[in-house]
Amino acid sequence: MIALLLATLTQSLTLIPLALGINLSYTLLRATDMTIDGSFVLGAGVFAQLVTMGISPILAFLVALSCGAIAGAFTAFLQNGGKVDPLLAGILTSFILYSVNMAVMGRPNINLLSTPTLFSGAFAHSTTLGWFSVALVVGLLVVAFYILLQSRLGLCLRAFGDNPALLSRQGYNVTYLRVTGFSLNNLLAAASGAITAQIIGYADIGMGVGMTLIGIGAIVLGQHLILPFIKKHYLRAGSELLAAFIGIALYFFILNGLLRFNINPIYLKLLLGVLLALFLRTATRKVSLS
Amino acid sequence: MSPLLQFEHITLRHPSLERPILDNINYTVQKGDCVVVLGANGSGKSSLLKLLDGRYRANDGKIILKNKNILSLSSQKRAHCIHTLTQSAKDNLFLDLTISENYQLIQKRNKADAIDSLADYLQAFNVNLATKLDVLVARLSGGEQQALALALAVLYPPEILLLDEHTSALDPKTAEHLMALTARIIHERHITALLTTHNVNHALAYGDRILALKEGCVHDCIERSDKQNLTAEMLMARCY
Amino acid sequence: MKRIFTYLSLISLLLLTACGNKQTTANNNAPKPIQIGIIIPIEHPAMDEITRGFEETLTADLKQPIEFQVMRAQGDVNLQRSMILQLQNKGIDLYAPIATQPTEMTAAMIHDRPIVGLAALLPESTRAKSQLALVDDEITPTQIIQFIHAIYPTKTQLTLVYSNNDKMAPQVEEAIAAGKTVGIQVDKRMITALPDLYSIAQSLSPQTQGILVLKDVLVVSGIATLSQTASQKHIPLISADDGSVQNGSGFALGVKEYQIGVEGAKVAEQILQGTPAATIPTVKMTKLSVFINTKALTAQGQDLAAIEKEAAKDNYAIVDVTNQPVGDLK
Ligand SMILES: Nc1ncnc2c1ncn2[C@@H]1O[C@H](COP(=O)(O)OP(=O)(O)O)[C@@H](O)[C@H]1O
Ligand SMILES: [Mg+2]
Repeated sequence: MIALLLATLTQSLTLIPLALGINLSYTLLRATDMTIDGSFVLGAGVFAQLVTMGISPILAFLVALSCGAIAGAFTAFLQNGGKVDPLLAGILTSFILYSVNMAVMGRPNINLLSTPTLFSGAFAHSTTLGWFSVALVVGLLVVAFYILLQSRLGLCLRAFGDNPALLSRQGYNVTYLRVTGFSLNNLLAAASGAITAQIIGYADIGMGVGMTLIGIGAIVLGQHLILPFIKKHYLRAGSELLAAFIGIALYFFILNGLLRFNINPIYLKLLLGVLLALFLRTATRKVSLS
Repeated sequence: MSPLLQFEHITLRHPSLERPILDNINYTVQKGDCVVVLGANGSGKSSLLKLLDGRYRANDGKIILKNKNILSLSSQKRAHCIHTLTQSAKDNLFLDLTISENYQLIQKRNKADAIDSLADYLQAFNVNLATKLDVLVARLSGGEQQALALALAVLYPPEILLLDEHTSALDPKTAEHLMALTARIIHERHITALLTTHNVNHALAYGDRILALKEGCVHDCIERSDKQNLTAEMLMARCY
Repeated sequence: MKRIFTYLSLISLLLLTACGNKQTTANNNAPKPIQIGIIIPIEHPAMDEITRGFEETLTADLKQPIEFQVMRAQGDVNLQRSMILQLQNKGIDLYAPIATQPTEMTAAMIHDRPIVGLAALLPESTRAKSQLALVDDEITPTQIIQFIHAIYPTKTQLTLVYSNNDKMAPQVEEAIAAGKTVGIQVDKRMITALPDLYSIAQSLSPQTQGILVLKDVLVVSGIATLSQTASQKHIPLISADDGSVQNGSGFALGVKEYQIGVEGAKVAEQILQGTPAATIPTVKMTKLSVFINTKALTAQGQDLAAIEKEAAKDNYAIVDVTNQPVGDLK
């Protein structure tokens, strides 16, 4: 049981920034942003390529985040002032990103096993310290994200998702908000990609497949479970954060748990798919309104 | 005294329609006027208001606001000058945000003169929302939503307040209350307003001047002085 | 109602999940078998062949009971990560991930158990931190050029088609250098996308006496285009993997997947007998095979006998893949 919890914890930890990013796009901006599949790989790829070239991991990490943000800004730009569906724009960007990632990485797979990373020092000392340092970086991102949610910018992003036309009539620069929102969520996805690459020891061109889906599934699941109990709306940002954590953790808890039954993995994926479908079905799109 | 707002030869067409939605409209609004726009459904009332808040753009003619072509205003400047309320709450408020969040979004513009207490401020609009500041606007009743929208609209009084049948979706009693409230607020705060309605009694009671549209053209203009000796029936006959 | 159903299903699932790991073997007196974890990243016949070679050889050679735990990740990286954690939790004695990416992941996650990476190409430096041994399935361009020279001693002009992939550049240089030593001028042609193949195929130098393709995913995926040109010009199309031969290349010098498993099993055996994994040099494949497609060879006007003769001389097994079902590539 301890092993199961540890496996869940370590796996969830690396994907928490991604979950926050999806929370931003799916819950605040009300858009299914498929760019995330690509910017996850972009973050991993840029980071891996830069540290392999001998650039300091901290700088590489920051550059990786910026590249994710640029990818998001591009998706926002493709939406052409709200005239193109964000889903379509995101699919298009992640399509383009496949080539971009390949060009950035130069090969389909860059390994980081013997390259210094943000966490390699700590992991060399002890596994506990290693995971502690990962938790620290993720924690910083979570705190920054929470502050953002509570800020005026966070409010504007939420208002943007609710009613961009009204926001525009109130004199806000909607284009700026769209770019900011999509940049931020892809920045978080890129952060997740870069962190994941350091944990699994490589960046791979195919590592982002299905990330958006898992993320949305987890978020919907988490929100479905906890938002009905949150009656105070000033707690909304905090509870959304909590929902993202719980959703991601539950996903990996179930995944790791089911593995223990020696279920044929083909059925395992089916089971997980059915599970996600079930939650997507029972949860109405906007939980807080149900 | 120069007029606040002038429509000059305004024509608005839609490619799918043969006759123009608005056809050569000329009209002048003075500061402090409450102009009621009457006309059958489809006569172009809403379109006329949408030209002002930037949702539509005229094919011909120009709109002058305080001696400036309205098109030369930045969208931000325009948003400060013109505020619209319609019958549908989702055009007026962010339904998935709370009352205080809706307030914060409006309040951003002039940080200096923030009000002391939102609850007290709302009290003046005959709605008791003091305990609901943290409730999603979607959960409020239609009457509460429209009163809140009005309160937020005049927090920083716009040059022109556009009210497009803003009472139509309410039950008669609530509509009556909201209309009276609106008229009082407009009067007290000297707000210039363009108001559309199908209620001729409201038009007579609250409008300073009446503009009647028919099939996109100005059908009749009733000035302050003419209004005195009109009954609702006469107005009905003149305008529809 | 719906919500209650959701909660119920979730709670029962969690309960099931939590008690799912109580399947320890009650059989105490039997010697505990050696636990070997095999990680298969994606469903593919080649992966199954490697697994079969590994399992069969190890079972035959090792005189102890072995239990293989085969984990199939279905191309899902998250699932693969969970599976490695799961193996770790089971106290696996030796890990055998197949292909480079799973080997990297295993090496990053497992430090206290030996790992034999099958068909994995990783720099030596990566082996330092974990107990990692490698079976490298890539054969060198030099081996291929020498084989070609042996079959066609009079050929002096070859065209090498490759893609703009970082991995290819050093191999292309090696092929050119190897060509020089045997008097073959290797003319290199790069593609950046699949459609380039067509224009390159149309504009081949008339002097060229053969087309060479290395293990290059992009080019191999468009091998049919090159196959047509080779047939028109009656020159051989030579490659370095069996899949491309199935799809129209004349012949290839490469390795049989089963053999990779065999070599891996030998390494695993050494490790289980006490040799530290990190001290075992990376195994290169020496037992090579020549894959042939007789239909394509005939269309390209090539003589099978000459190929068979050289293969026999070098002790390479001939594998005819002419009518085998066409699978996609690794
Ligand atoms: N965006 C539009 N597309 C097509 N027709 C429109 C559009 N806006 C207005 N119209 C047409 O213009 C006419 C006037 O509409 P409107 O201004 O909404 O009338 P009112 O508010 O007086 O009922 C109607 O015939 C309507 O169908
Ligand atoms: Mg109307």
